[in-house]
Amino acid sequence: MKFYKFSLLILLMFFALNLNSHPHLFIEPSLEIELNDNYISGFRVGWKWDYWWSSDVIAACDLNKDFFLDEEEIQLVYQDYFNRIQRVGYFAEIYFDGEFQRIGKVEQFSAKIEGDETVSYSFLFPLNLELEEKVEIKIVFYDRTIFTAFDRDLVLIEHKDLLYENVRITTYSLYGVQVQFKVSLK
Amino acid sequence: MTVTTTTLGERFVDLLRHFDQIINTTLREIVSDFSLTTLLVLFGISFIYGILHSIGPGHGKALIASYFLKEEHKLSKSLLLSALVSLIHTGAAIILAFLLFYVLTGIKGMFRIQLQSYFIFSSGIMITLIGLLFLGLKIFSRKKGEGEKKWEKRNFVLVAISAGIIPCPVSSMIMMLTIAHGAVHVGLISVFSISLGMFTVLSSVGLISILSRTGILKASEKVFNKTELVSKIIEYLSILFVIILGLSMVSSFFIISSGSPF
Repeated sequence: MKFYKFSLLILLMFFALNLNSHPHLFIEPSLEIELNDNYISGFRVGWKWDYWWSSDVIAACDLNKDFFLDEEEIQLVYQDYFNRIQRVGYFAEIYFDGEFQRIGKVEQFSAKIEGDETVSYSFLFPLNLELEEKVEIKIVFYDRTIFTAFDRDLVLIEHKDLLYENVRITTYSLYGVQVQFKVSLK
Repeated sequence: MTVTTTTLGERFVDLLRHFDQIINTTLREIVSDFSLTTLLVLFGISFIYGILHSIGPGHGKALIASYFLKEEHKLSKSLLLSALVSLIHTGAAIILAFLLFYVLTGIKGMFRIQLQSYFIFSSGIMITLIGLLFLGLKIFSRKKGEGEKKWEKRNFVLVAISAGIIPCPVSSMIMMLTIAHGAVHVGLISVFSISLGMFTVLSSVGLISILSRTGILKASEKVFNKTELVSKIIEYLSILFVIILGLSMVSSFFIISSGSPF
């Protein structure tokens, strides 16, 4: 009877875990608010990729193999290794006081090869949100194809003119990360 | 400033990431400076990764468990099915890697991730159809064993194909990297070891399912003496589960493709 109960438990685990896949690429994200007077003009996002993706990007886009991505090569990265995720909102969601902010197109995309041979992306989610009083911001990074996982140790970069309160960084749906905080002008 | 708690799922992701990184580092070490010791280390790491890869969430285990719960099977069949699923899963990845490297060179980066969702969709369709086929055979084969025996071998192969047809992403990434560095043999050794790890887990799933079925039927006989009824319930539930599994994979494709906020 003990074996019967044990095997039932194991079987339930197989079924409970079946509906999802698991990730094969990993990103370490960072986030910084861009401020223009009392307007949030955007969120600057940093993605540090794992070695698999980085090797692929370097092999395909570092054309002269100098471990430096120039403008032409960055454009290649943008076309083949980034832009396609626009249709899934760049794996991101932004909420401003609970209201979903649609991300149209990112700006100022850049990519570089780090010293440890990983590739980092930097880009801006442009917004134009007036910061009159304290507001709550929630940003989620999550790939619904479950191919990419986001590190839960998201780095929220401080801003000299902004005050962050109640910062909570949590895992979102196992493979994503969510940061929630209140922000106001200092 | 940060509130963090580590759940079992998060630890699993950390572990996957850790091994993902070690495989990549070891592979790069081998392609730049080959040594037999590093190759053996890679073999061991790949085997552990294969186990982790299979333990984690995925449809293969559930499909195998359902298949072996559905009706009585010999234990040896579990080994055969697991070997087939593992080989198809990694074999498809090897073929895909060669295709992407030499033929489909226009498919790069993010498009490859998208490609994965097409495979999930196709596999979902296949699994749904297999579930419906099982159901049809169950309902319309009045005489015991009549249609089922005829279809048994075909079902076995169909289950193996639909459980393994989605190419193993890590295996294809390993192959891509080693093809690029002219070290295909290293890639094949690593992928074979991943297959062995997967086989270990999948065959255990199959064995547990077969033994569980027997255990449940024996227990039901002792408790309320209705073995046949319980057997039928298990059978229909397993078939139902296969259909739900397939449909969930198909629907996940549409959710992903819709691009709407979740």
